[in-house]
Amino acid sequence: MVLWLVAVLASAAEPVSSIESLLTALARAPPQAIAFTELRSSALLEGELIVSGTLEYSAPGKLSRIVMQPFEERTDIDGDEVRITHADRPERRFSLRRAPELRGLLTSFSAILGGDHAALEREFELSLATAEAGWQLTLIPRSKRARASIGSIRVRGAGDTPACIAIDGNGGQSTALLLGAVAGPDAAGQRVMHCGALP
Amino acid sequence: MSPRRTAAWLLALWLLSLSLLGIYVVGTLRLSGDLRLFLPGPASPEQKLVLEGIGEGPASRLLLIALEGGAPEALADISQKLVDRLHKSPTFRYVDNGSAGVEAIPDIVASYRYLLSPAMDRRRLDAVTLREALEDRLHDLSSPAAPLLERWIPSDPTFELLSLVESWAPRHAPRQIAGVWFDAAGRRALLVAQTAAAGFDPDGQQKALAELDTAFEEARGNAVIGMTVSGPGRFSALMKERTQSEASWLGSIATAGLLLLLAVAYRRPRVLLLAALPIASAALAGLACVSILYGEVHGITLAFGFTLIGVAQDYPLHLFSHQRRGLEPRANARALWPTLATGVASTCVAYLAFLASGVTGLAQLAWFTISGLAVAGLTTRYLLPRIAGDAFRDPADSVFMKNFASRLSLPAPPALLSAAFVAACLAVVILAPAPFWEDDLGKLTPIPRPLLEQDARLRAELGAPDARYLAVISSGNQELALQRLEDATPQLEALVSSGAIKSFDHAARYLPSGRTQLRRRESLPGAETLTDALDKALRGLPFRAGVFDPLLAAVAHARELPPLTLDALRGTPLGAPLEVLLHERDGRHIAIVAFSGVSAPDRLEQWAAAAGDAVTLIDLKRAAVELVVRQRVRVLWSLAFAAVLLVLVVRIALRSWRRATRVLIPVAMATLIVVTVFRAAGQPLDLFHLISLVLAAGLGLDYALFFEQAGMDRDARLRTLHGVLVSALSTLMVFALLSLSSIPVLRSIGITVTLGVLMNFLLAPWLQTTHAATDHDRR
Repeated sequence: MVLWLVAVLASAAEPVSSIESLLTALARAPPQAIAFTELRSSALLEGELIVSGTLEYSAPGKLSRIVMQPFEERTDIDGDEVRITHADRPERRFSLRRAPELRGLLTSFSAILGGDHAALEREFELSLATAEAGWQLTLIPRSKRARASIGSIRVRGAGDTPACIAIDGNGGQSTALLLGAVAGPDAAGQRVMHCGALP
Repeated sequence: MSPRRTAAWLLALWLLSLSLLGIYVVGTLRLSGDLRLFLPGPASPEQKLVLEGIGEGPASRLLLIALEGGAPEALADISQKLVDRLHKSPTFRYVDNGSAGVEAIPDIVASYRYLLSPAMDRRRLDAVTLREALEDRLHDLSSPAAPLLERWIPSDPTFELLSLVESWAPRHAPRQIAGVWFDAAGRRALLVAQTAAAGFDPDGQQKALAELDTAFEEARGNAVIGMTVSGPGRFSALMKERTQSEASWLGSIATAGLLLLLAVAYRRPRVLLLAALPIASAALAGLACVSILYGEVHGITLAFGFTLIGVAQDYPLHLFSHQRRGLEPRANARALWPTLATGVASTCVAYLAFLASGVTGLAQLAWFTISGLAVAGLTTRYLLPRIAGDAFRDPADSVFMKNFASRLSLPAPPALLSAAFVAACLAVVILAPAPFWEDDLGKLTPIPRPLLEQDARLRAELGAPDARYLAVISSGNQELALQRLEDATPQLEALVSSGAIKSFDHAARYLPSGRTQLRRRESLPGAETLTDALDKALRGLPFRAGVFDPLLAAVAHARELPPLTLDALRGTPLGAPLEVLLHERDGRHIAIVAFSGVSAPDRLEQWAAAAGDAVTLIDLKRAAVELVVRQRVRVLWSLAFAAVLLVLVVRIALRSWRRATRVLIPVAMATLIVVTVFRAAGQPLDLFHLISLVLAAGLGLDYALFFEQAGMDRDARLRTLHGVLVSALSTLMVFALLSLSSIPVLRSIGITVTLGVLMNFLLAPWLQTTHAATDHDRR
């Protein structure tokens, strides 16, 4: 298992010139696992909900989100089916189609790790911005249905290592996923550094 | 006026009236595919349900749809597009592929959630309940399901509606892939649709299927995806198409063959037109009669009715075969009339019996036949001779006929041998191991078996409940029916937990009684109490202020609501399935409890017996068998009655028991031999075999009567033999073609009549002649 954490240490921060070369640099063969911290805001809530754990990418289209803090919960996405299991709550199953946000995350995640430029282009309009601090790949869904709930997905990183995936919903909710080395304590601070617009 | 001019005028007038009759029939008569026309009226509530099930009930409007041949994702896409497209069509009451989540629940149900939810019986909307729910919702908001659930939280933090909808989901619903129903193997996407048209309205079903096809073609685009549609409606449309196409090609071949036969037999082109006139008159008169009496005619009646033309067609043929130069045609008709009239009368008498059978389809058939044959007989007697002329070859001069006759003249069978033969036949009929009668109502349907099997597979995949066991609770009003269902629920749940049944379904699961709804309404807190409880529950949780105002409004609204009734749900997605489970008939409210996975029917029976008079447990399979048996008993009684009448008619017409016996023996023998053949071949007899046997017997009777009339005069016998030969050949041709049909009913009619006519044709000249000859010698 190759952790991005290891990768980030090993790689020199080379500038990325094109989407194509960025995707080639980001590509990893499954299985992959990476630590994450997720910050989610909702129109219903004051402040943010923060959970952390591990994302496991075991094959194209197969992603598990294992939450360890502040409670334990496991979400498995297999093909189209999403299953959420929790120790003392009934299992919840639903179709990925009904969760465009999750679907966007999975597609972008799978395509980035798989280096599948064509698949990404099929579902999203892509644009790349680069700066000294790193790069930012912006994905805007092409389908009307997905656009109804997702404004954009921004992946930020440096070199061949992504640091944050930020998903802006259209209903006042937003999600930021801090990945690898930047996941962990002081999530709010890290988000300011790694998820905002490129300086 | 010269006889020629009179003939021309008569012909023109005849043709004119036929066209007018034709226009009337085409304008008024509707074709029906309702199989119930061929079943007797229900005698018990069970049978009523069976009939409703195969008739116009919601189950008969159900179409099962399967999409296959592509990746699951692609199939799911098409499935969804179909639902979206057909959703608003007036042709369909509803279309479902399992994708409809809570979003599809009608607003009225959402606003009634606190009155409908069984969870409200276990807890109250107090601070403890709310606190627990709010903590759970906080959890949900941090889970990947948050985008799905978020919108429901402000107005329904206890998720009353979601759990209600979950509890309504079929307990054996098909698996879902990509959000829509699939079969267990994951290869076929499944949908169900309910049409607005009744199952046995072939035109309405054809329209619905055409719309479904168009929607499918558009949804499919260029993808190579196949669609299979099954269900009663599909069958009725299919049978109509098939019957029409087969009838037209079988009809064309038969017509061509008939023309050829007539041309060879009479060598006069005008015979073709002359022979057609009484037949056309018979057909149109029969249709007009049914049209006036019923307004619609069953496809099977029509198929039978037209085969009957085989009988009517014989009448002019007998006239032609006895016509020769120098014989005044009217004198010829007058001489043949007693025999012809006896034939018409005896056949009509046989069909008269069907009028008393209490089976609408058979009564239609009887009216069609009686009016048709009467018209054919009368026109042959009074109209045809006036325009026929006398330019016919005398078959008595034909060398072929002489040779043929000499070949047919066999010695009379020794009495002992005849007796032994009859005994052997009877032994086979009685002792053959195969079941004598077809009791399976399913086999009565004219639908090919592979289609039925496919239907059964789709039904199983879609988790449709057991078609076999049902309980019916009859009550004076809707509220009482729902209360009775609720009262029965604990015992039904006990049956589930003890394993006697897998699950049950009834209307009160969706729509609780007014009693229950009012009780839940009373338990809802007032505005102040609820606000206090909510404030207490929210303490320390990060929800924004005012987020739960919609909850306060929803509960306040629910406290004002009158109990929900079935009427308010009509036209909603919930209304259609509910109407299956609870409906009003003849002032009674009938609630149905449907069972799945019944493994101990005896325990079900115990429950029903203990539940009192209002509850009736129905074994639909047994009820269907009883229905078929009842139908058969009625038809057999009718036939027995007809046989007695027939013997009397023949006896009165021939004025001698001896002559009547001579005529009846070949017919009885032929019928016995056909039944023997079926028994030996292991073919159980059904209604259609019985009708066909009557038809063949009617034809045979005509043959025997004409031979009887010819007496021992050589020329007269040759002319009669010619007439019977042409008649039998033409009938054989039509029915042999029918036995090639792909429609089981038509095939069984074809085979039965072919066999029957063959036997009658062989036996009539032989037995009748030899007996007549013996009598003649004795005299």
